[in-house]
Amino acid sequence: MSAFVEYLVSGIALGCGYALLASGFVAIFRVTGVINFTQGTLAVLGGFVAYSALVSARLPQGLAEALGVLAAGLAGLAFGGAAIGRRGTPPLASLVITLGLAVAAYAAEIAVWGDQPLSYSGLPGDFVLAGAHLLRQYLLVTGIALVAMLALGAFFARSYVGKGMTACASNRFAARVVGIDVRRMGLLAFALGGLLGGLAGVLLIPIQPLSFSSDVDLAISGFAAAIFGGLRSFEMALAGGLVLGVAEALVAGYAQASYQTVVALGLMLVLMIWQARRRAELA
Amino acid sequence: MRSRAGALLAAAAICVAAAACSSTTHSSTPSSSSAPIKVGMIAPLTGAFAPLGQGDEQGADIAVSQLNSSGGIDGHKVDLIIKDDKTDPTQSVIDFQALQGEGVAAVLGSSVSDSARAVAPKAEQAQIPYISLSPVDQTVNPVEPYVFLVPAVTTVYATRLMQWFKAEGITRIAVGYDNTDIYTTNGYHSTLSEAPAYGVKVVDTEVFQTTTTNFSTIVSHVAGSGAQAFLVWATGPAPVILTKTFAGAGLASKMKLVMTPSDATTLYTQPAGSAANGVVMAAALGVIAPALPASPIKTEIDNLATPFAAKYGGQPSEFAADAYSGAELLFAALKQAAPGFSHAAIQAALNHLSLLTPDGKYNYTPTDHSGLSPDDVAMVVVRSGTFQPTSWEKTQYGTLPS
Amino acid sequence: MRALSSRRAAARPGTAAAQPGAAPGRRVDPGAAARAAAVIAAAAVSLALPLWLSAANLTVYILTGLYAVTAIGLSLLMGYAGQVSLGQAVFFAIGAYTAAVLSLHGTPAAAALVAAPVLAAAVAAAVGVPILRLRGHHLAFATLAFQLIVLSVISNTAFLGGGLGFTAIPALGIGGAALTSARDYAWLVWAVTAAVLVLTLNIIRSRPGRALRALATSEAAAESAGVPVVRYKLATFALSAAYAGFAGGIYVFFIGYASPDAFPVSLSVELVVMVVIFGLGSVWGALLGAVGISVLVQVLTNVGTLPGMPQYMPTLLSYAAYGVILVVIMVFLPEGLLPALRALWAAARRRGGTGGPREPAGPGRPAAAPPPAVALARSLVSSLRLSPAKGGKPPPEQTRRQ
Repeated sequence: MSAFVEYLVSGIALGCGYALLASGFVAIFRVTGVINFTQGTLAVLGGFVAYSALVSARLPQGLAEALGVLAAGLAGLAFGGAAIGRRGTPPLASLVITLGLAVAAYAAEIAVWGDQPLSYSGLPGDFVLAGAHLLRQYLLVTGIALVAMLALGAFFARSYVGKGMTACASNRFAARVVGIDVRRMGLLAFALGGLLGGLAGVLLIPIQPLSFSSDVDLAISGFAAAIFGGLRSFEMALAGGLVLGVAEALVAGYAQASYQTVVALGLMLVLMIWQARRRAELA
Repeated sequence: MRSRAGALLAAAAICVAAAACSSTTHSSTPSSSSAPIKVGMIAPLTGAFAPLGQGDEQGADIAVSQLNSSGGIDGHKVDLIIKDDKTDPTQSVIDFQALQGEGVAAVLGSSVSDSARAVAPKAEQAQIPYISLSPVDQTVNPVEPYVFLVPAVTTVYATRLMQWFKAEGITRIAVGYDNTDIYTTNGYHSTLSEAPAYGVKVVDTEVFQTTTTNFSTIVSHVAGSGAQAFLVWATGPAPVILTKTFAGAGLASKMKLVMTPSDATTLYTQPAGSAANGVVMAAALGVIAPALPASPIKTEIDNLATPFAAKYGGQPSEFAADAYSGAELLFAALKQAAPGFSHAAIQAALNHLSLLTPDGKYNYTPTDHSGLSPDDVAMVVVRSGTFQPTSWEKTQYGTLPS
Repeated sequence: MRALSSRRAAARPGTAAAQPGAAPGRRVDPGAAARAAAVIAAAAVSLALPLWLSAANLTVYILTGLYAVTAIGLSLLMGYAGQVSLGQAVFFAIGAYTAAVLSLHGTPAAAALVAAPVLAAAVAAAVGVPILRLRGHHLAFATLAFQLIVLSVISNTAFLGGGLGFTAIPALGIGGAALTSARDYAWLVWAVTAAVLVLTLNIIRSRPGRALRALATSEAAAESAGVPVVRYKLATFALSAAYAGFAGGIYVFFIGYASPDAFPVSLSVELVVMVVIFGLGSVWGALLGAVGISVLVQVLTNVGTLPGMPQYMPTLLSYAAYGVILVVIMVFLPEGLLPALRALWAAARRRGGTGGPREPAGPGRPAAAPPPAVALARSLVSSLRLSPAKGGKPPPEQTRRQ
């Protein structure tokens, strides 16, 4: 029983991390139609900057992570500038641009932080639940992710900017007609994606050390969760993240960790194909 | 566009030829009086196993400097050509082909086990002596004429580990290993084969990959298994992460963590920090040099440790010791292969070589290309970032190699 | 009379396309003789190159040729069938593993090499049925996911070598003659690349090729014109996989080693870079891209291993190069370098006063159709329109068509 609880809780925590990444994908896709391949890179950058702030600059815990998130947000903005800054860039070209940015980011990351995995301690200590020893960091990840998701929902539904972005998402022409600067909204969406990605990285790095090459796995997991909601729904992205995280934890716990990839990706592929068939039937 | 394409193609082809510059790092300058002997080395200077490569380069460098400053072999200096295999076996094959093209007398092989598996057959095919710094049991079993092994095979390490478990009264162990690396996989199989003779039972097996970063599930499995010790076969960043996870779960007080010989380096102890205190491992004797009593082996080790401390600071790692010993073995063979230094002559010399090195006493024969025994391995414990002999090891000083 | 005049028109370069007497449907290519001569010259130079290259650079030559073959297949897929594949390296891997497994189990190497593209194409056809339903981004991610799944499955299957992979793969040869030296492989690769080029150019100019071009312009239009879209997409996917699989088969015999780590996602990214840099849908562009990138990486490696550079510099420079090239090309020259160069060339000629018509299209490019990247975008947008819920700003041309 305690083993199950251990897997469940760690899976939920990881899943919340994925949900944050997924939200980044959703935010950017909804507003710009672009799939942001740098979502994983933003998480890694956030984690690395927090690491430097904490370990090299010896800044206090909360501040270091906040800096990491901020840095990722700025990076997201920069990536967005390259991906959609130029008018008339087709969405597929934007995807390939984000791919190129992710690869170029490797060079920057290796230059500054080297090529070995990095980590720092999160919330120290553990707590016991139903006989299972669980890292306090799991609670932190889950709590902060849920708060972030709630804030995100409120932002899109209530705030002026958020509503503007929602307008872009539903109909870009209409949005332009009413005077919304679609491109600016797109850049804001990228910045938002950066903040979300950075938050995920900063929360996950104590549980799972990150290196420059960790971005692919993170992006894939985040994307798989985002696909749950057809890349449009934050709630479904959260659900997707949790399902994915728990499934991976259970597979690793009861079977073997090496099957995780197949499970996560297989799930994603099946969902995508099923969704495409449904759309073809409806259209 | 065909003319443009064609012209561009021709230009590109010429560029390929022009880009044919050497991309190697030379460790010692060749003498101007007589032609230097070229020796090749492949090491993981970058990538996941960079800590190993660093030690390899350091050890080889000291050996070559010592040799060249004492006049070289028969008046010839040795030119060491080191190639980075980036912890990638495919790259190591490419490196070998480049070294072959440069006409090296022999190759000191990469400490990345998969590189050894990829290159050793090629070296054998090309009949170039290959002195492997990676303990891949299969390279010497069955014996290939041109392939020789420097680190002890995993059965030798496993035997020493079992001797220690028995002495400590440990009968139940959990074993974890990286199934994407042949060395660690061999280590696991050797553990299984040697355990019964020493009354040790494997109660839990955990599998992971070199790239695994999340060990919480594995650690919790082990915690619940009733094992008295957790023996881990892993190289690269994974051991550090696993050690920290182990300590973080509060298991350090409940069972012994026994790591791999390839973790006997400050590049493991430093990042692991306080989590590594009390961690035990099997390692080359060179790792505990300061603690050894005066003996022939200590003198040998000091030949490495003293200049090492002067040039790089600290104790030499397992890999520095391996590379130094490998170089020593090669130089001894080269001395016998003078003046032609042909591949066949070097191989013949190696086939009957008997030499004491910091790694222990080697006795190569045509049917034994591994040459070491359990007495050449030490059981060490990590204390405050340094390697100390375990209390049991101190009782074994009577059987030090000579 | 008409026939005579059209022939005379063909003999006069620069004015042919404007001649009303020219036979309908046949493009006249002025300067074709000059272009053919340039191609022959380039072919001769590249054929002779292996005689002069060092061992290290022969490896670069061979790998370049293999990647070029794969890139040509990918350019067919991306440029003509308009499908983005971020996981093309998986078919390279499938080809390599097929050849490895078969030859290690006793199949003659040549037969194993023939089986490699067949199996790769079969897998592509099977997987293509569900996957090719997806559009644009989703397809891109699906191809990436497929590669990761296949690599994961290979790692976990003992029969396929597991995480450790295969070593000591037998040499490639027919009957008694075996390819042993790098130079032999270089010439084999030259022959294969040349054959693939000729084959692909013929495919493009054939009726199925024209249908493919129609597909790239607009799926909806092609479908209404009677082109069996799904079948063509599937066939192109399988063909591109066959190219990659064949290249992978040769690769595995050359290197002699195969493991999941040898076929990473970064290889798929590199292939995409090779294809887009000179222009999607251009076969010559794919070849030039492969050669250009290989030369660039080799130059960067030489720069990166100059004394004083940190160890990871070559890797770092390669990543920087790939990333920056991809970003710059896609942002500023989304159609690739060739069309941009062509535009410059055409502008120069017009300014030079030949006063002739616009430069006729190069091989494989329909004169009137828009550049493939725009066509790609259009097909993407038209596919997006099938699902009204999706966002995405249509390019202006699309709006005008409404």
